[in-house]
Amino acid sequence: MSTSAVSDFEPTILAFLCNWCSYAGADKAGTMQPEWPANLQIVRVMCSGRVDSGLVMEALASGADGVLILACHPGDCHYKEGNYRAATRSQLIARLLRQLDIHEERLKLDYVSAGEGERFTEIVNEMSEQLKKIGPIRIHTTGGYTE
Amino acid sequence: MKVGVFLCNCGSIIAERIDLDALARTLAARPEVAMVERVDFLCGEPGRERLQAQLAAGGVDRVVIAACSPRDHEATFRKALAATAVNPYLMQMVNLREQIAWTTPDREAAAERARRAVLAGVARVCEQEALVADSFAMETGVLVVGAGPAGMKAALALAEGGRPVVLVEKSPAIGGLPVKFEELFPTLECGPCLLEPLQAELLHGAAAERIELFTSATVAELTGFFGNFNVTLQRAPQVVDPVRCIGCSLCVEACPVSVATEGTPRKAIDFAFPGALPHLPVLDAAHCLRNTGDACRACVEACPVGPDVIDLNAQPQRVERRVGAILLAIGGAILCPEVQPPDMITQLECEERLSGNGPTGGELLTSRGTPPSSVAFIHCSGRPALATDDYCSGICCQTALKLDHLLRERFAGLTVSHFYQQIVAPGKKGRALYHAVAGVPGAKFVHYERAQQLILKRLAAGGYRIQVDTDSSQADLVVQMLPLAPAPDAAALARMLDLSLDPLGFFEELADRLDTTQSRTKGIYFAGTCQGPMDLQQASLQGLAAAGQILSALQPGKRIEVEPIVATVDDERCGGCGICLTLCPFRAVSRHPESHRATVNPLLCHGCGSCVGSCPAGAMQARHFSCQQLRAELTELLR
Repeated sequence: MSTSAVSDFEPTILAFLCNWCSYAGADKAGTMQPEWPANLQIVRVMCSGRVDSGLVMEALASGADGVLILACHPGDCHYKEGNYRAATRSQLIARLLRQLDIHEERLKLDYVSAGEGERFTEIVNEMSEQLKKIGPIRIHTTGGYTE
Repeated sequence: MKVGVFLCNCGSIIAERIDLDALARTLAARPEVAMVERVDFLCGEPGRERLQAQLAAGGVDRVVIAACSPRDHEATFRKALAATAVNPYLMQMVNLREQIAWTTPDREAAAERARRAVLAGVARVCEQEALVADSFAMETGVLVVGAGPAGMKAALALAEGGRPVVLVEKSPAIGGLPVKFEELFPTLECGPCLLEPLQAELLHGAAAERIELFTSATVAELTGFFGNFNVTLQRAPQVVDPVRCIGCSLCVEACPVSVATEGTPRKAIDFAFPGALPHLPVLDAAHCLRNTGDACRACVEACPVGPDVIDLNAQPQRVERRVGAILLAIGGAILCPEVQPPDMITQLECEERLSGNGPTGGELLTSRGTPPSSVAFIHCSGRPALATDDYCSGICCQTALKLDHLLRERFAGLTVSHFYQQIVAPGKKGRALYHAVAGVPGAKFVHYERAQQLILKRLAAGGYRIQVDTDSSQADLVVQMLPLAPAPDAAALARMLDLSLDPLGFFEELADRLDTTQSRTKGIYFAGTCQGPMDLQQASLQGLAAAGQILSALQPGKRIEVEPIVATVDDERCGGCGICLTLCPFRAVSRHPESHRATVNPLLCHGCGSCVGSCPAGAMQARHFSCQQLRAELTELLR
């Protein structure tokens, strides 16, 4: 993604949304004619517990300025415990980001239920503002990156 | 790859905000896109017919539908595709409406997000695989563990529905707790009388031939899964032939051994209690003379039917059965303390002593051997110290009111007092019972806030003084209303079946508000107080609810169809660490006993992907949400 001056910086956010809560919450937000950040990109998963560190790192390496994982509220996971997996895993990933000298605020885990349209919009806009302060992600490649 | 892309105008809703023609042009330029078409209302019948017609024309092997949210119509379009040559899972929906068109007034921003999203959908669908639903043959028989009211209602409903039932009861008699209660709240009808028709129907009714009853039996082993369980029962020796015994009780009379109890002495061969069903005497091997080497055959010789009705050499048996579902209805328990001070009893002990078919034949005396002239009920007794462990059993208040009524009928002039924190009498008839009892002249109801306010002092002359702040009462007999707790054998059974217990120790239901009769393991159901404290009405309802769910899930002649979106294991990569096993909430992952490699049972897997996200080896893979698919999607979104 190319960005010109810092003031024009529209952070790219890659959001992993779970089918039963946050994805539905985003749909609900949509019905309320909100204003979302221009570069919000959404990937649907069945459960936040599916989101592994590889996917998060892949997103950052592909140019996402921030990654958002939105799960069901604790106790409400459709699959009972997936959101707890996501919560503990995101703490692990944050440590990894620190080691890689990546702002750990580029990864955020939060909870949005199917009915919380307004909350979804608030969260994505807040993250956008936060990322504007941190600035765009810089990816260094030495010798190329091969799979 | 020949991707067919369908852009839904959604009437004009989407088309208004996003330039779909421009989008179509971008798509058509991609080599992997074979065709792009704009349709009005793709979800409607004409729209779906158009979709099917285009696919029938050939030239497309996978589909992207850019329209509304997949939560609205993914199922619709999968169903539409099922009628075509394109596998329903070679389709990806792109949410243009709720998550793009509606989320910004900026047409450029919307167009850009739409372009990325549809291209990402194309990239993803190119990585998707054709999936076919697995199907399994299923047993339609059901194992019901526990022949109390919940288990009996369920067993009967299932048998009436044509299913073979294996009904296992650990005691020698069916009926559970209420069959031993003189009166049941709130209407004060007789317990055994209420249950008699149900028991008769179960044992001798039209559907009885489909019910195989094993008394004095427990579940020893269970393997398998929903539709295909193998159960092994452990049964105590069946000394008395249930078919030939006529219940005349001559063997009981002839037995020389008398075992002292609280009330009427019992014989070594005797009925479990007066009126116990099945109507068969049971041998108490511990007290039988043969246990000490004596060759006593008094019971056999007394039997008028024949010498082989009673088999004193009968051995414990192991019985094996195959069933499709398991229903646990093992009940709860009132845990009476081993040792209590004199004249202090629990509500269960009070019930048993007042009951005509109980150990004392209905006699209730104080420790001095006299009938009580005053009784105090301590409600909310035995509550846990921690507020987080506290719960209301919901039945003790009405039980106390019922016992109050019963006691005053038995003992003329009896004074009764109640010490309570709340009076819980829900439902259509509960309050009427409360008023009937509270309205009696001399009825005393004393409220206490905290357990520390209630002070009981044993009196030298017998009985207790009960002090709550300035209020002082006296009672010959104190009845402690204890909570209804999980049965002592619940934890072991849970371990055997790999079921979770809730924080209070009851079996953990699938969902507290909407699905209390299912466990998290498909095929294992609950009914009655083993799932949580409840009254007879609710236990009966749960039995019927579970039966309904089982009748619907296991149908003769049908196979169980399993959604293909499950986890699968790449054997080459699996190192046998077992992490996936421990964190699957649905017990869908098991380990090969020798290789230690994990396998997923697709019948039990819910497709959440928690195991996939946690696998350190990348061996656990998510069908339809694989790493390749999600990576293809996100890299295109971020390009």
